[in-house]
Amino acid sequence: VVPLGQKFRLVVVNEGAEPAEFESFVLHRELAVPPHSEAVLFIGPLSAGEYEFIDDFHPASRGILQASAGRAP
Amino acid sequence: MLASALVVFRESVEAALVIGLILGATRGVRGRGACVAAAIAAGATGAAIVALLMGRIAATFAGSGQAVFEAAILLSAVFLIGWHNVWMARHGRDLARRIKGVGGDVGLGIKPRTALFAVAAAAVLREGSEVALFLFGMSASGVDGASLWTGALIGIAGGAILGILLYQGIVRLSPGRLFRATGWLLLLLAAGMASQAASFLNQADLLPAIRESLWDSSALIPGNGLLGTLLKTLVGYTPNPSGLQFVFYAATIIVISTLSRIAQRSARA
Repeated sequence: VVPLGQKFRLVVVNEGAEPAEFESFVLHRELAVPPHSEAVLFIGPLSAGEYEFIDDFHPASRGILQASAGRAP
Repeated sequence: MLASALVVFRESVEAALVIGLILGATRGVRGRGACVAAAIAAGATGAAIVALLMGRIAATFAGSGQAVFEAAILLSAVFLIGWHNVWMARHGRDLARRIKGVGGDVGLGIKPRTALFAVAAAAVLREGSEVALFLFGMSASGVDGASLWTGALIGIAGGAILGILLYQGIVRLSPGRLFRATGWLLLLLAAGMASQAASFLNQADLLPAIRESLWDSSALIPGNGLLGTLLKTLVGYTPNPSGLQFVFYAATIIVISTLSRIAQRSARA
């Protein structure tokens, strides 16, 4: 869950031993993350809704950012 | 193996299409085959270095180094393509006539046209660094190396085939038409690169998105399908462009085509 209507900083942490790429078509975001490291990206301000992202290096792993009011990330 | 083939294919298609287009556009440049090969080698070497330094690059610009780096490469390529197109607007006709007459090599126009080789190198560098990060990381994590690298080779071969098809398609044209076609294709390629750069600059929090999404055509042509990927590379297709991307896209087309028209007019005068 991420904040609504404001810009936020998202830290993508790759805890695994394999490289990953955070990618979201809806959000126009693309960020490669080497194994055991982290990288930063900025998102928003978003309107309420669900935003899908995938790991482009492991297309089966996907997740959803949910932007909704009243809850801190 | 299939997984690595798919990942590598998706990245290499983009670079291969750019190379195919550039090979077409540099028709008549002496030794362009060797130049493109050198550009690919340079791009690939750079990609390997970038992949190894990825952690350090990411740490710059308050964690947004990667996005800033991508945007910088893309915008340099946009600039080089713009320079090439404006130069061709002035000299293209003359060049086409010479190629028809001599039937091959011409020394004319080495400078801006060789700038395109740098664009090819930049494309390989950008896409290649992701491939390299993927392959290095995967092999370090202990997955089966043989199947990983076989998959990678299949992926690259698949990408190369599409690049060759594009090249074959455009070199059939007569020199005059070829340069007009590659001029248009390069213009759209540059606009697409500018729009991608815009989204990276927004990702790094350097520019506002203006609007997150102007429209959404992902139901019509999904951005992650093969057609979507081809269109993304060639004309900068995005199913849901942000306002900022749209501004960058339109500005690139307007600036390059206006400068080209001015150059063309001064050539006739």
